[in-house]
Amino acid sequence: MRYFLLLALLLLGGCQSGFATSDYGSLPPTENDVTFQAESEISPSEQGVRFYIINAGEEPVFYDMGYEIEIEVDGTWKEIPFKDKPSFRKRDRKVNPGESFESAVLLEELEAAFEEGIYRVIVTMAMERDTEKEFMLASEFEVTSS
Amino acid sequence: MRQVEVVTYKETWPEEFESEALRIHEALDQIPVYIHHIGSTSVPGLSAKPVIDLMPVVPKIDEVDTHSEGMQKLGYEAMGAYGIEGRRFFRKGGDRRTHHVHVFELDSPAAERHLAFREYLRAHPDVASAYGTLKRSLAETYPEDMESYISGKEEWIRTTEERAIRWYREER
Repeated sequence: MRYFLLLALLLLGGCQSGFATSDYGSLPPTENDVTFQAESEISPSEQGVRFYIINAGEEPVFYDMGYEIEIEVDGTWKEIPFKDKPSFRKRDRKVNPGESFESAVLLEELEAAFEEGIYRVIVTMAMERDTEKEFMLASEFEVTSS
Repeated sequence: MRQVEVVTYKETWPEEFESEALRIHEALDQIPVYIHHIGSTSVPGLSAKPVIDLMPVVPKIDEVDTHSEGMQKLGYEAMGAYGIEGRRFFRKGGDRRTHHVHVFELDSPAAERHLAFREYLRAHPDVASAYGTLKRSLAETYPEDMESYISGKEEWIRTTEERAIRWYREER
């Protein structure tokens, strides 16, 4: 009986608060003249969140084709884990000066129900290929039924 | 003329999908957000025509048209929407077909339908088995008539897809 009570409490507590706390603090949407912008609002039934990387600088930048998603829980960012990451994203993507690249987060890649709330997408960019001179950008989006 | 050939499930199909997905991601200039393995070869244990179906999902479908050349270099024939609105269809192999690529935009109902059907068959082996039996029977009846083979399973697919979509939405 005690076991079932504990299980019920865990389930009621929800999975989302059980996510690990983010390794990152505040992250900017723009750095080095590169702007990262996710669509601001989606409904829970949508399959993905579109985003843009806009390079307004004078040098090419490189996007590693990955992303991380976090959810805000009581003012703290929590990491949402992936199911299986796809194997086809092997190579980074060059974004030339004055150009933009549009892609999207596919929500079914992640271990979350994406109920209403505030989330953020984080991407890693680099000023040179195969370098550790990386910088991270983030953009928030809201999942809302309204 | 395309022969109707239905074979037993091959353990190599997921690997064949993976390696082709990598090539297609490059040929489409990395615009696919995701590339799904769909169709009968994506359902473990299901007999199928030995044709790998891939479904890249892209942010904007029109962008695919600027990358047809890359697909042609991989041996694909660009077929446009080919009867399904919002799709870009590519096929490879001529009469000895090896791959189909169905590109859809993110949040497309047709993409959801494909995924729902696949997931439903994966989760219901009895339904997948009935589908395999139907396909083998149609292939024996129409070994040289691809159109009759396809139309013979249309009604079964239509009714199963309706159930699959309801189930898929409840599961998500």
